[in-house]
Amino acid sequence: MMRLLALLLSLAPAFAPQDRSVIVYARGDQTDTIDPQATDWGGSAKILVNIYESLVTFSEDGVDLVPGLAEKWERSEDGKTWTFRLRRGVKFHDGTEFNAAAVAFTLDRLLGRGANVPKSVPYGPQYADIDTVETPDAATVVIKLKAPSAVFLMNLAMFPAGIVSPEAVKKHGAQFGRNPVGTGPLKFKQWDPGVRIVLDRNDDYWGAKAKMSRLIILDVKDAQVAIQKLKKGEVQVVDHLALADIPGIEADPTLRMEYEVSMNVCYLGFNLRKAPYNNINFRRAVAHAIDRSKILRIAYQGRAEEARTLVPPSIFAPPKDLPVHAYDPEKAKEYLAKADLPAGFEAVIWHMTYPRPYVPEPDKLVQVIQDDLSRIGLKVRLEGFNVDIYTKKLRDLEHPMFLLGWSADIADADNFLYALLHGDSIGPLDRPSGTNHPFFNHPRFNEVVKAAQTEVDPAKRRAEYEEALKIYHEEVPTFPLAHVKQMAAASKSVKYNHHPIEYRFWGIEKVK
Amino acid sequence: MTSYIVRRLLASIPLLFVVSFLVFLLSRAGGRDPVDAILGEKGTPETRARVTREYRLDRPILVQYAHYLGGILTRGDFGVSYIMQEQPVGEQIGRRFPPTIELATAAMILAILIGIPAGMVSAIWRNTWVDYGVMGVSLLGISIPVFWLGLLLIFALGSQFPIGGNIDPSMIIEPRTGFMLIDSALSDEPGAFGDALRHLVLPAMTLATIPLAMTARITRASLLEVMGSDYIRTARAKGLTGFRVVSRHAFRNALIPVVTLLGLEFGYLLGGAVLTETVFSWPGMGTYVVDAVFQTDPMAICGASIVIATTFIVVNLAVDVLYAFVDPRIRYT
Repeated sequence: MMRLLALLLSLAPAFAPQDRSVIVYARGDQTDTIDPQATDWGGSAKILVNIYESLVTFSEDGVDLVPGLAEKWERSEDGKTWTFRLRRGVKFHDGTEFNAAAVAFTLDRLLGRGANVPKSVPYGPQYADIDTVETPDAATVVIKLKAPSAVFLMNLAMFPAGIVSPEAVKKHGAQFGRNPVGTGPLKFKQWDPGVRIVLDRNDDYWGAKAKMSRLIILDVKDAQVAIQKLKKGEVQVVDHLALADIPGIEADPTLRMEYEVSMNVCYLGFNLRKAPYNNINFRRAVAHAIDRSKILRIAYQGRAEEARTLVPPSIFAPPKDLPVHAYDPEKAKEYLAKADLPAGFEAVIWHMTYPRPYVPEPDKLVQVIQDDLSRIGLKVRLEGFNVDIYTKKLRDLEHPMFLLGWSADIADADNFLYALLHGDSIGPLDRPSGTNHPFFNHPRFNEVVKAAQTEVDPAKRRAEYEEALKIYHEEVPTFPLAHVKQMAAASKSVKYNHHPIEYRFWGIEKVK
Repeated sequence: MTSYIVRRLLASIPLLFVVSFLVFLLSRAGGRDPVDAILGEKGTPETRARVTREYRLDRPILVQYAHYLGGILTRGDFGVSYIMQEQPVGEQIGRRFPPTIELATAAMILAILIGIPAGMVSAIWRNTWVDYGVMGVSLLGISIPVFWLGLLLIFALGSQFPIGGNIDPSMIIEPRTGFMLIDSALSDEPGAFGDALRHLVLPAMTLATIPLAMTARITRASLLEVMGSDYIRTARAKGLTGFRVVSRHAFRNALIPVVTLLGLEFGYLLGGAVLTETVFSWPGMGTYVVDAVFQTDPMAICGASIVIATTFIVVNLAVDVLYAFVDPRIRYT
């Protein structure tokens, strides 16, 4: 045995010295396809934004929109016609020319028009306000909308609007998602599903070139092993961590933690169609009874910030005078008395039993809430559900209070307020199918949020959202709990600035 | 012999029917709408209609099964895994099986090369400190949880050996055969073969532990039994040395239970060593099955289970055939 061990050890040294500029990024999730129009999966979006580009893109801080494949654009007086001037001389990774026809081809795919549409286009509805796409010349695209929209340009910056090479789509057909061709700073080299994705630097890129010659996205399921690989230098970044691993990483002089601005929210919802959750006094009692600082400490171990309102402050800075439900058990008891509950009433909270980006430990979180509510004399029963059925159960008209959250698709308040609280987002009233799980349907709220969608004056739009947030505070359809910071561990041998919305791997750089 | 093999193969057919039908039934059980189960959250009305048509989901379960089995037998078509990358299941398994065979073979080689000599040494020096030592260590080997052993090895030897995957991820190896040791030897990446070999060390050591320890124990027990028989006493009476008695007379007879054990173990390992493969991110059947289960992908689970069951049956048959070579008294007719 010992001799064999010695023999094996003798094999050990002589590692092939790695190319200094190769970066290996370890992740825990997977990719379903590398076709931007065919997916809504976060594990795929991570890869897509490195290979494809859109007409416009997010600025470094994620707040503004800056030129991407379009150099400039203008909006008509009525806000319905947008004219984009395209960057010239840009080539797809397969050597074909990027031009207006490619933009029209991509938007057709996104809208489900023509022969080259993927099997499903999950984000298609988000672009349904596009009426026509015209290409007067090779460097101009004119997009006409059905109605003015304040979020149209933001939508164009999202990954589903990444411009694809028409030649490659026609050549590979249904297999395009495995043979992706875009214009981005990294180009596709190899995909070994469940093992790794290899991207190489696009040396012909029009903008600042990728910092590495090759990027390897490595699937490492076991977070422990991923961290060992990080310590050994086999990988440079690990993006799936257990909270318990963080102190060890912070203590290691060769490693550091990276935190990303949070663009998500975790909240406690109420079914507004069921008593007593539809009673405003009951909801205010719950809101005042919950100690969010304790939740942050116990269920997030400090890796989150307290949510003052539903929309994260990095997306929409709330007005200074926006009231919050401060932790106040006495006030909570007063409201609870007013709620006039039947004797022996037991409230119920439904929760998921699996971690989500906005809540790493849902079981712990609801236990804190249960404890807080018991202190004001409200008995609570917890019921957990697994991933298969939880969101389906929440469309059930009979659900009680529930724990849920949301991660931003785009950095706009509309993405939270419309999707989570607008009457349209309930779906058919008798058979709810949408993402408005509390079934909140407030006429004035609906009106201002809808108006903000087409409002092109930023000051007026801001006023509308401020009013919406005040109504949200008054009505408490859901109670905001926390905004979680996204985390990664990185070797100090690389420089990596997390972008708040996209995973811009091309910016990861080796340093001495 | 040939007729025996043919008969055994024929006998396996009903077994495979039963196994595949059970697996198929289970993958349809659980109360979920099978269309939902197959498509996950991605079902547009068109894809739902297509999947219903493709898998005959509007027909009785027996028709669905017959159709599924027909696809496998006539075209090697295990259906499409919509949940995991929308790829044909057969293709996915084809990519994941060779790495598992590689790892299982490496583990078996370690088990044989170390386990059998260790068992022999133990038997020859029975009830000495050598015996106690070997048996103590092997008991530990059987008892230790593999995922924990894997982590221990990573901590202990992780600085000498790569700790995950089957090749340096920055090397681009063309998958010609699917076997990394062969593909890396054929590739023009410098140092690829050595790198693939080094990647094999820790997972193979982890995976070999249990079969190695069991082999040592069975070899010892079996050899002791044979050594007590009359013909061994006769051999000793003829004046043969201890070594010759063991090597010429006892060893071969003692091998039968060892071969049975090794065959069974090999069959298990080929089914994908779920824990070892997960700890070492080994791109084999084990990690494939884990992904399929966690993503509740019924097509993938069904296909993988059928392939694993078939492998097990074939390996068992191979072991039975091997008996005839080990023990000339065994004749198959």
